[in-house]
Amino acid sequence: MSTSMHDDNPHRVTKPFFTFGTLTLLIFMGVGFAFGITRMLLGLGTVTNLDNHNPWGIWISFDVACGVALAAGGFTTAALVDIFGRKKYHALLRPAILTAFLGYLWVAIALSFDLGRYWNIWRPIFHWQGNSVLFEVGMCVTAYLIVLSIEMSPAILEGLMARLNEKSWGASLLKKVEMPILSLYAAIKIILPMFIVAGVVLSFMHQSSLGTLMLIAPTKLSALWNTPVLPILFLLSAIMVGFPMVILESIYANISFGRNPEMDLLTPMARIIPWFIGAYGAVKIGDLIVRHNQLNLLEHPTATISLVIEILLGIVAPFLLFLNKAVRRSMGWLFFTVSLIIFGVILNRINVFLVGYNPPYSTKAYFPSIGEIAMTIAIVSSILFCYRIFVTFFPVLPGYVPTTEVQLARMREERARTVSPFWTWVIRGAAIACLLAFIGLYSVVHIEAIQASVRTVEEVRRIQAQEPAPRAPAESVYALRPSAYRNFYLLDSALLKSKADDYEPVAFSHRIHDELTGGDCGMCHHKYSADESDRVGTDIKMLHNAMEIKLGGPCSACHDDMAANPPQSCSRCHGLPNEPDDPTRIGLKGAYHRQCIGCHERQLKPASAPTECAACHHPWTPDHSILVAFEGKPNPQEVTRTCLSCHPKVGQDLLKTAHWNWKGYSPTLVGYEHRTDISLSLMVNNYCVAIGSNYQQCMSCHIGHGGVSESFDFSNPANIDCLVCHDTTGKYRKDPSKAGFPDPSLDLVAIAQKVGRPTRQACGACHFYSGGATNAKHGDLEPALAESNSPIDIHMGALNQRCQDCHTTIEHRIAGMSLTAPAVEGRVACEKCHGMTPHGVAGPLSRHLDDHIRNVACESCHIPAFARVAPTLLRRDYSDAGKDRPEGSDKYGMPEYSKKFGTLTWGKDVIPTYLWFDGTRNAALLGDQINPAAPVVLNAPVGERRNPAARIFPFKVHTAVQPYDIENNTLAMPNFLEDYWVNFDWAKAIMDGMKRVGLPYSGKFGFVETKMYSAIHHGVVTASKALGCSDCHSTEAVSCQRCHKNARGMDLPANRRAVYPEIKKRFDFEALGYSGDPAITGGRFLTPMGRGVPSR
Amino acid sequence: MPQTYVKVQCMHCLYPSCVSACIVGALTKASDGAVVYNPTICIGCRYCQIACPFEIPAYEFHEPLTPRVRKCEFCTDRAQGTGANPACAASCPTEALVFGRRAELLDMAKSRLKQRPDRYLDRVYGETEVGGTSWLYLTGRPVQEIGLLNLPGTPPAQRTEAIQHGIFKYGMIPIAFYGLLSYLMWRNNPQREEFSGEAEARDASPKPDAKGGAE
Repeated sequence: MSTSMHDDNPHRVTKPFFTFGTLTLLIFMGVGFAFGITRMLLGLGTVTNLDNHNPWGIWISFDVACGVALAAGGFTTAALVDIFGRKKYHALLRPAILTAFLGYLWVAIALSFDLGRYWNIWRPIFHWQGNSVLFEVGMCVTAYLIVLSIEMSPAILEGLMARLNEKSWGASLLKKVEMPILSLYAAIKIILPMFIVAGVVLSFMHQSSLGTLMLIAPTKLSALWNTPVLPILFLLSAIMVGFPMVILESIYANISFGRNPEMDLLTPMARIIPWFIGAYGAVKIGDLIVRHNQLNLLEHPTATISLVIEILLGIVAPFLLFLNKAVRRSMGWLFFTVSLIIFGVILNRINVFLVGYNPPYSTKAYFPSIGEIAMTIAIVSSILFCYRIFVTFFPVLPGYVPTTEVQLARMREERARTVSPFWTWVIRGAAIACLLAFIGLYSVVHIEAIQASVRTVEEVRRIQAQEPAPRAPAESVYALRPSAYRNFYLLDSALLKSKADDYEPVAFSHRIHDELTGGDCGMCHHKYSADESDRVGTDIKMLHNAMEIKLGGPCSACHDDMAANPPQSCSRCHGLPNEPDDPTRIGLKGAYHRQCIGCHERQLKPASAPTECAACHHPWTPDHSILVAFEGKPNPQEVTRTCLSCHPKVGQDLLKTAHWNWKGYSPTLVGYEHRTDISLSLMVNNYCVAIGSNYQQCMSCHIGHGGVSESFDFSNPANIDCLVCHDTTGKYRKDPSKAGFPDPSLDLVAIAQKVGRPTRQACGACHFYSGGATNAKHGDLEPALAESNSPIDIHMGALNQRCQDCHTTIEHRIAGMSLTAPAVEGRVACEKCHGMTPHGVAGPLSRHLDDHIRNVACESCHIPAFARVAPTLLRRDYSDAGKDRPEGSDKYGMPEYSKKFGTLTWGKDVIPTYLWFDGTRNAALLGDQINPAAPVVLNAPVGERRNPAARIFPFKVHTAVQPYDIENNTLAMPNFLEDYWVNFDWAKAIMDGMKRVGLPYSGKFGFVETKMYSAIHHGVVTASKALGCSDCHSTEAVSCQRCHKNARGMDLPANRRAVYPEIKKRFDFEALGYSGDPAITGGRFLTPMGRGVPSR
Repeated sequence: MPQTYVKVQCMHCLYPSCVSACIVGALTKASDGAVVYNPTICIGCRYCQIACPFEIPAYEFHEPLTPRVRKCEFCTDRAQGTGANPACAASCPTEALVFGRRAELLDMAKSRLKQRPDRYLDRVYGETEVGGTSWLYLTGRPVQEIGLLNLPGTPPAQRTEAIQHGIFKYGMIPIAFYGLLSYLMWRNNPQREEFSGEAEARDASPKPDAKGGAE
């Protein structure tokens, strides 16, 4: 074999390296790897269109799956030439091996861009997972890459050996390692056959396993490709595409290097291909036919079209074309046909990995991003570029020159050929050991995996067994897990806890729910537990069935001693959730919620049975100590600005409220129903008479800072005093002489850091002390209400309710009405919670008591007396003020005389005055004409017996003797703070005061008797302490037997009790407009006997 | 139709596909039933996402260096040794989520179905789906209406594992195949020629050809 023109032996390509083609490849690579670097720096999400539903894109489906398939030319050609001995094709072998080697190399490189933790790519070598198809693929690809490099090494070593003769410094360096190179070359020659076979076996293994890969997702992979023979199809298609790749590469390389393609080899090779196409096509189409009833061709039309193209263009068309001899002989047709096959295989891989992959939860279809496409182009370009480098430096392609490098190399090899048979067998033995070791390891992995699978199946069988495992407390201790798993969990954290505790507990009212359930306690209290140890209980229904008692009515009909023997608490059975002793028993929190939500959801009126969290639970105020920070000591306005910086809307809301403006819509003020301008300053009272003349002191109860005069800026939210209501420390107090500013010695920061929902104490800071002294004005608002568990009011005491639980607020507008203030921002009524039948349904008196509701306000019976702890002021006589008399002390320890106020009369446990009240009232305004002949009523509740909207309410009456202008017949407005209480000169004080409020004053004053009412609403007591029937009605009038002739047993003395028997005429029925005791003469709506025509 | 809320999380299948799929065993089924994740050995291939029939594993796609697979792990740390509940079950105010042993929960579910046939459809979702899951659902609406999938009763991993172990059991088939190819090579190269492109024999080749893998 010396100097033929056509030499089949491989040779280096000597054409110029940098051409248009290679430069183009470099540009593609540059662009693509720029995206690659971006992925390394910013993550997959930035560069790719991958998401949680489409985790694999074209970097896997094309770069890896197609890359591996298209590299099949290596093992098919190796098998053809070396195993099946078709030596004539050997000229095609080295390019094929090179293509395969580069293909796999770049598969690995592409994969490391796609792997999230590419630096862990070596892990599968040490962490075997034999059940994983991917592990199988990964290990085989790795092993095959090693085999391919062994198969490639003769070409590399020959290239090096041929250079030994050259005269260059490189060659002289090579010369020094001549012997190792030659020895390696000889050794590789010895072991090469073994690895050629190994390469084929490995290829079979991983080419087929690539097909198994997607079978783990049968619910996502379209049925068009989801078949158990998919691995066989992948293997067959890989074998099929091997030779076409060799042909394509040969034609392409030869043309681009300006040579004639080896048609004398390619044409016979093309004759083999139809057999492979036939085999693949038969299995594929046969499989589709066998599974035809699983296929739904209309489900994913794109997939169906894609499958048809795959079969027609990739299988049928090339098969038919290759049957034609002319096609096999024509270079152009050959190129076209093999291109079809390659396209078909690429489409098949993309179909399986992308088109046929339809995750049901996916919200958007996957399409590769520009970055993914550019990277893929760069990978293909890199393979071509590396190919070009290889054929330039190493003998790969068949050469045309007389003395090939291979021959040169062989000449050198002579020396290495003197390997002794001993060493030959040593080398061979080492290779055998490697292969055996690989197979051994492989078997071990699989045996382990099989055992793991078996264990899992057994475990599943055990878990699926219907019998619950015997409960043993020790079993709830779980098996230890590897410490590596204990990473980054924020569970059991303060964050989670704080979320759970976002809401305050519900103030649950048994009263309301008793009424709504018709007294059937069993709707919630469904089980009875005899003692603490019984945490399962007995079903209420079963319990009563056993006693032959039919349930359904009010429980209290029998269980009338519930106050003495309170029913067992829910927590006797319900404790923590999922307790191991009985997981079917739900926890306390769950029990509450599950009991409530069902009924609440079924109610017709959602407003009264809310289902929102915050409707039953009030959210906790967050800890403001981490939110509020000041530098130094802030002034009060700075505190407010800090509040408003987070709550700007609240500031604007508050500017519209009556608490801020002291005026507002006054719908209950007779004569001024449609006015919004009746200010508190226009009202006249008989305590310190008027605000206008005593602005500075009165403003100390305003929720603002700095109201010294009418010039106070009501539009500036910074003047709001947030802390006076929202202080929870109880330390905040306003300085009475500082016009609404707080005591300068207070630590405002500490108070601001502890803000929260207003407490009773905060509301009481003003409302308990109105009238100038504790409880002086209202009578029913005293500091004792702020104490916890105070006995004087059930809501504020035992139930610990806040003021705003009844005085509901909307945008800081607070419901409630005072007879002494004009504005009303919402009404408070007992009925809002207690309804119109609040007395239960079971008691013998319930119905009779409920009959009172339309006539008598709840307060009338349930507040038998006011001023329970702190005495209240009942009368003051300004006419004898200003004298230096001793103050004295009455029986309550209160002063009987004050130089400032004159003679004072105090009362404690005062019996209210009962009057009709329909919710509207009269009021005397500044400058109104008065009749001094009779006591002047400054405000009066409106109502009388014939007014059906009116009911009998309790009132406190405060009388006074106060100055008036005897010429103008108007009440005088003295200036107390700066004038009268300093000089004790009425004339001057009145002159000054009248000037301040802008009223004419004749200069002559006298004293007139005045009267003021304030309604009594606070100090509600429970039924046992409320008035009894006989407190108002005569004992005979409320005898049961008067109507119930046969009800002897019912006539218990308790039904006719009088709590205050010494008090006569608590209700003065004649004064209220009745002709006598309505229990006898008949009420407004009911006849004396039974229910019928109302009496007039 | 009133709204139905559905909590979606890892179902902790009895025969988890993700565990079978994971190339390095970063996902494992712990002895207490949880499918747990070990980020240390994870290579980030996302095959678990492909494998999961419920599409649960989420991936930190925007993490360049240390992305993790994220999913419910039954609060590994909390349950560790203490028997405490997973946070979701512990904090659920209505105990719509219940935690316990699967057999007991299944019992409870069955008894609820018996007690409240008006409320629940007669199906415990998760009892048999993909071979059974550790999360069980009771629902009053057909599962597909509330976004749960109708899934086959066989675990998908069983099929791939059968294929894998069927072909590669003890390496038998590859070894046999290796032997066959070696024999063919020996038979088809009567001159005991060199291989890999060295078809033309110029030098006498004293070496017998190899049968490395025939052992």
